[in-house]
Amino acid sequence: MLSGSKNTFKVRQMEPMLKERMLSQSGASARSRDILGLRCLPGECVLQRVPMVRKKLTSREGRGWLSGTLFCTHFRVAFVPQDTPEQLDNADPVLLGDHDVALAAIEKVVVVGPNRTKQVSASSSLKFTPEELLLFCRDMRVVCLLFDRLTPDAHVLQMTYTIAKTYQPLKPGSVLAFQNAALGSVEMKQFLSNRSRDPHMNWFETAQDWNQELERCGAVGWRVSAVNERFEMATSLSRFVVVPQRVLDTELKKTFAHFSEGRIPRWSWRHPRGADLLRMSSFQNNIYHEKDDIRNLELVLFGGHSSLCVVVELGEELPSTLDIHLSHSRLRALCLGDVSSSMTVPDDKWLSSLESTHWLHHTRACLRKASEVCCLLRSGHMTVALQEAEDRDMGCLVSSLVQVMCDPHSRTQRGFQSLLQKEWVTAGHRFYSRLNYHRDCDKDESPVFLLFLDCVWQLWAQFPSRFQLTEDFLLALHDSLHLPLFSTFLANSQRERLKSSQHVGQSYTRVEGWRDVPLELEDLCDPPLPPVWDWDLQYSKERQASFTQPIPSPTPPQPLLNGNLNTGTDTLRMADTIPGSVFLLSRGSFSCPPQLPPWRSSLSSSVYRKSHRRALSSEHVPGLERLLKAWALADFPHTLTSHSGPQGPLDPYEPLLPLLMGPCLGLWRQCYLRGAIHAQAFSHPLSSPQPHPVERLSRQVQQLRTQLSQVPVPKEPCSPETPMGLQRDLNQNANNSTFLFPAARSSKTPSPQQSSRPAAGPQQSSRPAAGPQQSSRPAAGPQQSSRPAAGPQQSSRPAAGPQQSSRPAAGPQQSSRPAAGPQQSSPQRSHKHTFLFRASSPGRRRSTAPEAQSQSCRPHTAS
Amino acid sequence: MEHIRLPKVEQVKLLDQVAPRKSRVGTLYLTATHTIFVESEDGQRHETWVLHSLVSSVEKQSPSSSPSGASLMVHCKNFQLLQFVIPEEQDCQDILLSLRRLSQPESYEELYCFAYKPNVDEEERQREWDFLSLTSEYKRMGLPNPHWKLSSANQHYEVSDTYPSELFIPELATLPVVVGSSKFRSRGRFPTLSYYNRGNHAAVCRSSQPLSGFSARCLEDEQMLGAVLRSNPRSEVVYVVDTRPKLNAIANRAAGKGYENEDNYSNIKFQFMGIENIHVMRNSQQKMLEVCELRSPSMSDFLEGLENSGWLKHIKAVLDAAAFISKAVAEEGVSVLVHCSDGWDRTSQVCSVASVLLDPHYRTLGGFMVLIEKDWISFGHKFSHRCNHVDGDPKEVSPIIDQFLECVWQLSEQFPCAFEFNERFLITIHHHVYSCQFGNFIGNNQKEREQLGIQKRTHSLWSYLWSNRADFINPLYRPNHSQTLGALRPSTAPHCFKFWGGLYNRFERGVHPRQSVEDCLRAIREETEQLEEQLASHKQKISKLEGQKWTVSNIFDKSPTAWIFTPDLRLANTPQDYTSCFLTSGTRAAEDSPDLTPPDLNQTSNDLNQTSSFNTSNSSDHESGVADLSAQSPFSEDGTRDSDEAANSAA
Repeated sequence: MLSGSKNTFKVRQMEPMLKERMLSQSGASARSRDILGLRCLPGECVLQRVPMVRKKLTSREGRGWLSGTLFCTHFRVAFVPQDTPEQLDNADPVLLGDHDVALAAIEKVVVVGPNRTKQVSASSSLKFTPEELLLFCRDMRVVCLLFDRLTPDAHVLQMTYTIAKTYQPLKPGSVLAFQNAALGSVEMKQFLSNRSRDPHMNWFETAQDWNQELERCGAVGWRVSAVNERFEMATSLSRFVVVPQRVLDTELKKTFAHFSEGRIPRWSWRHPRGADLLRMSSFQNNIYHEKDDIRNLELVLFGGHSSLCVVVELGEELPSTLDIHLSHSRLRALCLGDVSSSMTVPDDKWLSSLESTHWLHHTRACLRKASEVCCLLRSGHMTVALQEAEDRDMGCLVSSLVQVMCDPHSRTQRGFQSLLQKEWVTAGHRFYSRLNYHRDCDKDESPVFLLFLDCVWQLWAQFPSRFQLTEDFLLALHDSLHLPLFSTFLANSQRERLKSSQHVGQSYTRVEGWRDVPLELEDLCDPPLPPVWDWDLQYSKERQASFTQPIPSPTPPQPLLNGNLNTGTDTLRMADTIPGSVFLLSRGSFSCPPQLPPWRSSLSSSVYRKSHRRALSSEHVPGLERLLKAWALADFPHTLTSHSGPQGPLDPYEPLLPLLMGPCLGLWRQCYLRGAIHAQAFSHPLSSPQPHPVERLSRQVQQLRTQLSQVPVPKEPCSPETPMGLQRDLNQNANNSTFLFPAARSSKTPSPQQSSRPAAGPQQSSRPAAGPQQSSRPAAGPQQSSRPAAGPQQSSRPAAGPQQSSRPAAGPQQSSRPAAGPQQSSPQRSHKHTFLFRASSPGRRRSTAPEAQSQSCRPHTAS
Repeated sequence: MEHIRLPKVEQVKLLDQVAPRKSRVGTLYLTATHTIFVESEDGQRHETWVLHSLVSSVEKQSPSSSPSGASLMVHCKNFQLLQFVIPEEQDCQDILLSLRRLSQPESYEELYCFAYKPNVDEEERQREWDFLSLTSEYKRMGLPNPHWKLSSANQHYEVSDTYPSELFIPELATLPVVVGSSKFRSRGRFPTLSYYNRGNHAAVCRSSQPLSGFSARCLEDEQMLGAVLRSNPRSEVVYVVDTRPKLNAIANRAAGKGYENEDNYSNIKFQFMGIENIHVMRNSQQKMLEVCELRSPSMSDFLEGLENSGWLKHIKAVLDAAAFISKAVAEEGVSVLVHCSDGWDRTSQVCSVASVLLDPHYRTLGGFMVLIEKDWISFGHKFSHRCNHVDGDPKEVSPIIDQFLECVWQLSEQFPCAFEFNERFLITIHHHVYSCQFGNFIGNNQKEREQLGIQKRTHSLWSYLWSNRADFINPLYRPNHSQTLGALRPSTAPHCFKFWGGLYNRFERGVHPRQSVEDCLRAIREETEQLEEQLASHKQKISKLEGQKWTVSNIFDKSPTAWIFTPDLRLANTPQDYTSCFLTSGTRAAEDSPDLTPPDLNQTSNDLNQTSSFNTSNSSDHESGVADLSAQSPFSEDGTRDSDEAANSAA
């Protein structure tokens, strides 16, 4: 009763078109939910289930095929391999198993039938029975599932239709439904609200976080200002900004107007050699610069160093957001292929089509720019300010890339997460618009963050042992980005993020009102969204273990507080340079255009000359250029040590300057080509490690038969409980059961190992269930040759019987399955099913069933 | 020596290809066998040796391009590119002429292998050649057996002078059939066994093209194929794989050659594979090398240049053909006959790559060597012509063996755990195919090698590689993994083929990734093994000492002298250390001794084993010192006493 009422509760939350389906299924799904080992989230419902499905493993997972059961819930398409070890029942829920795909991540569903390929949408109907199901995902995975030929056509079709109907093509509104499906249940909300944040990473949300970062970098002369705490000065900035100590808040407030969107120059990182990295948006030109402001503006811009400031303009050489978007969509099309051509080998133009995407070109441009900045920073005392028109895309990318190159801390998992939190999340990268989850701002869409991940991967590929994080971590992050579940990515700025989380708090009381309110998506409130960094929620512990290198890297020494690592010979002494020089770095050369800071040109030169002793000169421009040249020529010590195994003691802050020549950049195959399903030499399972269930069954029958033939006396008690009648049946069947075996097998000599099987008795007792059906089909041809050759797939199967005859043979398996639930009280009978469903690891079934019931009671009582 | 016009030039500049500003200045020497560039700028001698036989071309560039002197470009067969700038124009000319003559010997006798005399006695040298034996390799395959027999038809190379003397043919093939078939095949290369799959009796056979022209038939050849078919009792068909593109095969018909007509042979299935000929391959590689030599290629220069060269496309064609064969043999159990035109270029490639796919044995160090010995050397791949060992027809030169090695490399990228050897092994083989340092690859066929007396006068590469095998082991190799057992099923989608920077950009240090994970792994593994050994020996020692503990400690004399000597001895690695430690004072010993008591050591080595971290080198020195000590018998008594003392105090 409890489970029944629970289901009605569930259905209310579903979209109306599914309601009917759910109700008709409710009886079956409530019982069968846990039978094959799917651990549901609280409130998750299994809509459809097909056993004996094989999933193609990628080369990373070890290739080959994995058999298991396919589920479709209203949140995900789940695949549970046969031999999954039992999980603890009280473990925290994990959103996605290792083989699962969230419905929101599915981009399109394609079915492959005999000689046909078709994309399936919610409204399409199929005229053939699919053999293979391809799920193209937004994160560039392609999940390839192969249905067993024993599965009834109806099940396959139902599964296909269910997935096609429930996966949500991104559109305004669908995201919310998905979030509710995943996190909307009361338990999930409670669970999420009780989760604590990762204390080992810096979230950059409070002033203390920023102070901690200042301390970590050994930056002196800077302070955390709370002038933007209520987002009054700049809506897109974080609540706290780091500015020079000398600037008072009252003075600071006046500077906001001089920068576009109020994104004033603010501190982001300090190189251990003493150079500071700043970020800012473009100058506001149409504003009158008052005399008083100028001192503050310059103070802010020059930071702690009065001597030299290099403004790095990021607009020119780097790809625009539109370029990135175009390039990435071309790359997608190339790597995944479109539906019509997905089954054909692309022509031999692979390399030139890769070239024409310009993706690697853009990667290279970003890495080059970041390398230039690194070279400036390592030279010592100066301020490098990254300037971009809006400072919300490339500014994030370059400043974080620079830190990955220079700061070993950023190459650890926690450090990297903190870095992203600092440079992307709180700095106001427009994740929400750029990722375009809702498909409502197409013109803003641009995977800038994916470009960044690719750049980091390029660095990782060239310096794997200098990173503590691994490719797996980058991949996991890449994939989470396509899951519209995380507060990290579902807002354009920190302000929006905070606003939406407050909103949830206020409307939490409305949860109970759901049942009475008509099902309109607007009325479903946002569930509290977790940050992406809560990996426990997304991935199992085993997968998380591969996020970091197993070998601990030597801990980097603490940075010097005074930032004086100027021991190298190549560092420039900037102390004697003219104070207040501003240079512009653009296209690899330095210049000092007079109007670079607009206030200087707008003022009479006399004012300017008052504040600075001398006019600007470009006399040490060559010195700066030398810094960049040194990079091009530098022969770093690690080129020599690379062959001598583990790294010797290196300067940990020596930047990782990547090689940028054509052959040195590669495509991130593990990411973009994970799903490459271009026709391969051997694409179908030929010798899967797991024998086909029918074959396994026949083998066991064979073993029993040999065991029987070894029994000398008919009265031999093989098991005390076994009734004699059953044994007689068994003997009869033994004559006919050869139909199940391939010829090669039936000629095998009896194996003596049989006698050692402890479970022999109960196994035998289960025989009659399968026996009569099989013996009643004399038409079953013994060999594969009797089947008309049905393409490579058929002939490649190692299974025994032909299709027609084996379908009915599976009948007893399936008919007996629904009966499994009520029979569980009898131990002997459940043993019977142990035999029949070895594929489904029955031990778990028994243990999880009561647990599932008790779980299903909970929502009802809670509400 | 008579060809050397100028043995030494000073003040020569060697330009760096990646960063042209960083040139090195030194002295250039020409010797009988090598060009040596000695650079001694900052007190550190740095030498670059280039074997003459590896030089593929020498060019002088117009003097106007480099103001400081005449520039000399030396291209090597191992893809090294050296650019010297020689101050004097005349010197440059002399060097150019000498190098040209030295790098293109006119006869086999001038080759380096006949001059290469490492310090090995005659008996040892003979044993080098016995290291690999094809007979035992055929025995490993399970031959001879009731279906295949060893044929003596070609004992004295009378049937085919490019075939080896020992050949396996079907049991049913009689001598007249063999002879008749050989008359119908180009250069007498009749169908013969290359690989036999023990599991299902399917075989890979190889031959040259039939002389079928437009309509010719040969009964014996048809019988020969019938015998091949019947040697595989389970199958009803034989695949005949012509590795050429169809057009080429048809063109050959006009010359009285061609391909088998399916109507004339019973139960064959004919298949073209579309691997281009040696001239296309040569030009393709040339184009690719031009891309490699670009100073700082942009993304588009590189990718488009690589694609236009078509090199990866050709590699893919070879791998496709091999995958077809391995599928036929392993999955379908059907025997395959492979041929191209003469049956020594494309056929060798395809048969050997298919063998690598089929048999895990060929993915081991020894197996790979024997594979090259079998399918390339013994079956008469024309190494001397293809690699231009002696001055010959430039049209005969072609990088066929390069393609084979690259195919294997591409496979090893796809299946990193399936190969016992690493990239360096392939590169070393490539180097020595061209270097002429060893006799293995000299000559064009077995008959020629016998006439040259290769086995009597030169050294063998295989035993050299085997003795250095520690360098060539792939740390990721897992022979028992499910993926590495049985036949490999490679993917041949175009994105699976990568540019092999390791070979083609081998000498451009700046181009390579700065860290090789593989090397790291190997070093760590060696380190771990060493530590584990030491741990075991320490444990053994401790358990031994535990037994003696009480008996010895009672008589132990606690004189200070014992304390001073013994700890220092622990640190000693060499006999010099031993003597010096008696001379040096005991103060250091006193400092060191607390760290070095045995329980401590065991503790640290345990820790190190667990973490196998990078900083093991220091402590392992200390430990090997201890291990040495236990081996040193004269001082062992002191050692035991001391460690016993420590154990005692710990207890």
